[in-house]
Amino acid sequence: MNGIHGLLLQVDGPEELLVAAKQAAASGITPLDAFSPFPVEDLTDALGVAPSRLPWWMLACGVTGAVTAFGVMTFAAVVHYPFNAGGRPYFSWPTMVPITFELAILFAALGGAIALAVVNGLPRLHHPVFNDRRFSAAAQAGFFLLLPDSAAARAFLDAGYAGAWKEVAE
Amino acid sequence: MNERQPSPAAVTDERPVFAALDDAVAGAVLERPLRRGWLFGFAVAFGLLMLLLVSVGWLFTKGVGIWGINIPAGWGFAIINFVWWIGIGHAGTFISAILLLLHQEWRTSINRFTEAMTLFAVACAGTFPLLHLGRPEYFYWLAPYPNTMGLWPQWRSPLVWDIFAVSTYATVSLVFWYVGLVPDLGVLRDRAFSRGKLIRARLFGIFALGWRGSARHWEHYQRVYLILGGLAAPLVISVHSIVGMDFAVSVVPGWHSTIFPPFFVAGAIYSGFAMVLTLLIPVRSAYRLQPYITAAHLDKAAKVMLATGTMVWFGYYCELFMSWYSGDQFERFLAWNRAAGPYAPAYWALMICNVLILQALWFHWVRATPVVLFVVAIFCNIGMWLERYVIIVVSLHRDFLPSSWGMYYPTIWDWTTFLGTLGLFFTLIFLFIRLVPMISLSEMREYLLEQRRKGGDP
Repeated sequence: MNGIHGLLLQVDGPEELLVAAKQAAASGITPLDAFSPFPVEDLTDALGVAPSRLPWWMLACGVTGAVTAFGVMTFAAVVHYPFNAGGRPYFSWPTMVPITFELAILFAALGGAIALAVVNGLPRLHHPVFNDRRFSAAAQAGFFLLLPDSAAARAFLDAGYAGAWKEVAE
Repeated sequence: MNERQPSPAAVTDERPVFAALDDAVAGAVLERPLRRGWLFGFAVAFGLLMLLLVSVGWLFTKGVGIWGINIPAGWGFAIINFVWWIGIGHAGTFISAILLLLHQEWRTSINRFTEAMTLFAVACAGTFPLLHLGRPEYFYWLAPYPNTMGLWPQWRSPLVWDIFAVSTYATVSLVFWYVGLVPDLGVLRDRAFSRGKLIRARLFGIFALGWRGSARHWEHYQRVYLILGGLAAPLVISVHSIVGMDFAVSVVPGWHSTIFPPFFVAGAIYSGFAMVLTLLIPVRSAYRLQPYITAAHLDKAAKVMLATGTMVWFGYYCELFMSWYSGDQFERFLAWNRAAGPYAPAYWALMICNVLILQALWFHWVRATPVVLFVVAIFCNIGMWLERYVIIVVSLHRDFLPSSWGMYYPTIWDWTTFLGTLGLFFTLIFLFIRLVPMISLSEMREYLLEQRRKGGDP
């Protein structure tokens, strides 16, 4: 248990967090992660995180739901249980639109929520940053930048943020 | 405005802004002792919930004959209550999804509460069609599943669409609510932990899934959350349109009308905002949330009620006009039977609530006086319940053949079941108030910080 996960810097607000992340990146230190009470704009660029592709995944799930619903209804109404109701065509597709729509929404929402947990690696009830007392004391209201443990990172932090950072145990 | 403003310190530093918010919202869950008001309210609601248990138990023992439904009036209280409850739910989705997409930032402080209201109202709504089945043990026959009889649901029926619409609506509302809740559960976990409440920290920790506000997580999170809002917005329109079509596809006088889907959606949002006000006005004063749920919120909710309520009574006029203009003698008879038939008191009470009392909302002092607004909202809730009563009972009890006319009288079990779902709803609301942050902390923190940066009042 004497390994060090990284160096955790606490700053005052979202702008300061963005500045610190950009400064670190400019000094050649790629931050491991940053923590904030709400999403901070442009922070992902400074961290070198690619934009989320989950919207595309949700689209794929939604299309799957729509195709499934429409396919099952067509199969049932045309092939498996053709039923003549008042001389209407077996393939009366307009009546299938509402259920197709509902299932598209259902699949997209469930797929998105499950994928959100999977790509974020949640649930993961413990994480080294929780070892820093400041982190839990802030109750998710603090702004933190996590840097990899290296001589360069320590020099960078000491130069600009002496006293505001701590080592985080593994 | 006699609203309580946050202390002056809140304007000078962001920490106190957060601290005041956290104390009010997270503190209401973690630190506030049980008060008599909550205990009393919860006891009443829980008692009514037990009444629901008894009513449902008796229903399962004896069957739907204990209710007042008969032929011709096969859709009694069960369907009235179903439509009423699901309509109430729609305001929550309207606030959380449609106002999210429209960048109406004032929604931030009320969306958590109204989404919870949606979930609980849908839970109440969902019980009624199942109880009304007569043989609820066969509810799964509604779903398409491989069966030895080789049968499928009738895809052309809006009642089948309704199964998919309501179950999708319930699921998506739950997912949307929980995804929004996860960061706040992280707040509660850390707050409980740093105050030495380890058992609660563990419980909240499990449901927070280990959320830590990582920028990588936020990147995925905010995109998924926005799209969930985008999905919920058309969903809420579709659900009540389909409920409207349940009626409109039939040939029953007063139901066979193309106006029903939009008319029902407007009525749903109207009644939902009435319930939002019914709940928020007492809660904001009991939990001192006035700095966050301000007079402006009540004013805006009242204006939405006024707009959608006006659409509703415009719908009433359209129905009257069309029954005359169509020349259809059954439609004309229905209009007369509503206003002067045996259920005329319900019709005129509905008109008083939804047309007359609603007009009070044009006055600023009504919207600015919470007590008066609360009373108006209660009348609107009653009015919308009566509207469904009139639509369902008056249309069914006298349709085409006078020889098949009848009367519908609710029995004591109809009333206990209805009161029982009120118990279910308020039990869940009372539990929600104590167990979960009533205001979205993560969204509200961002909002307060932005307001402060802009130089406005936080």
